[in-house]
Amino acid sequence: MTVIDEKNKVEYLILKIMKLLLMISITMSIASVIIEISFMDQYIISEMVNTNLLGIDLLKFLAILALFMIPVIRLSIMAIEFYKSGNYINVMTESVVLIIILVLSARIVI
Amino acid sequence: MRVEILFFVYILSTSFIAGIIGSLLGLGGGIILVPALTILFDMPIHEAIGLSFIGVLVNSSSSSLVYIKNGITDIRLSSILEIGAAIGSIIGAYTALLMESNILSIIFGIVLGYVAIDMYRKTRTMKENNIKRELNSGEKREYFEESTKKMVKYSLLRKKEGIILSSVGGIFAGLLGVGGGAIFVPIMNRIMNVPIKVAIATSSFMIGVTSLVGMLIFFNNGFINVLIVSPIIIGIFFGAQVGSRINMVINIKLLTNILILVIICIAFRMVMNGLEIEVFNI
Repeated sequence: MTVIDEKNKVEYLILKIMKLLLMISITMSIASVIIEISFMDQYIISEMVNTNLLGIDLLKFLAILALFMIPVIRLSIMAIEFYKSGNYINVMTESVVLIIILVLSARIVI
Repeated sequence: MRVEILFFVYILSTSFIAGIIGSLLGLGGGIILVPALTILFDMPIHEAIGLSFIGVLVNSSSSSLVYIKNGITDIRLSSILEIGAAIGSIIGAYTALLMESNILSIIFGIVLGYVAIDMYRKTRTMKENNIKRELNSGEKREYFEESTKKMVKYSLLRKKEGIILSSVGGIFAGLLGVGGGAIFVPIMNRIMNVPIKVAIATSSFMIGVTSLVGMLIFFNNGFINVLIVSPIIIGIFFGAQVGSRINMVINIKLLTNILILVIICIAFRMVMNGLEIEVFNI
């Protein structure tokens, strides 16, 4: 019973976070499209839209960042939960994949 | 720099259709999105692959929500296979960056052809519930089968082979900007003894990692056109939602056969593009 509860807890946590991040990404993308096609970026909120991060405007950056965070956060949650339950092989695999992703991201930022 | 409204609408509708077809056939959006962007919009294949990674990431996350909710995804299995898939995806993505567009186009066409054949084979032999699975050896697992309202037991076999072969799936995912599900699912199902439903759900969960790895590599090399990222995210997401609902109300077998024919035509066109032979213009 304990094993099933642990499994459900991890799944529930992953589900909640994935849902939230996906919604953020979709909302930001819709906002970005609306602002761009309505030419609002030239008038009302130009400061916000013209803010560039890594050469991307703010809303698109947030949409991509939210998508990026989905696998990153779920890998982190899984690594922590596997560590708690003593599945050290799974902890190792999750950590290696997480490190690969973080190294690739660091290459973009630096 | 802004994008023309009409171009926005075209990209949005193309992604939407790619999302619907991908969801109907359980392929993810990439296998339709890459040829659509190259054939319809004359986009360089490297750029199309870069954008496809984003579409696949959206599709994978969206479908994983449903599978996790239903308790079908084998999270522990995905964590074992992900390492091979991620490494494979790095190899695939860097290989794609080194390859000529023509060669990439031909490889894409050949893989599409394989996918079409594999799908045709599946539609003829979809009797998963009748298959007696090995239960005496390996790690014991189970999942809840909604149609029979019973727990289905299975044993996980040949883990080492699974990890090695999943890197092959990762290579294809990174090389072509597709999820890699067409390779991950048979590996889990036929080699590791995992029931097809669990294999599809777990593959969908894993694809998030392979596509993210590819996306980061392509982004770093300037092959992701951020100007059209938003319509792709929206189109694929809503397309996948509509596709999964259509899936429940129509005769999927007939539709699958039609779509297999469409995929074969696209595969043919991609190979011809790669060989620089003009067949028909769209």
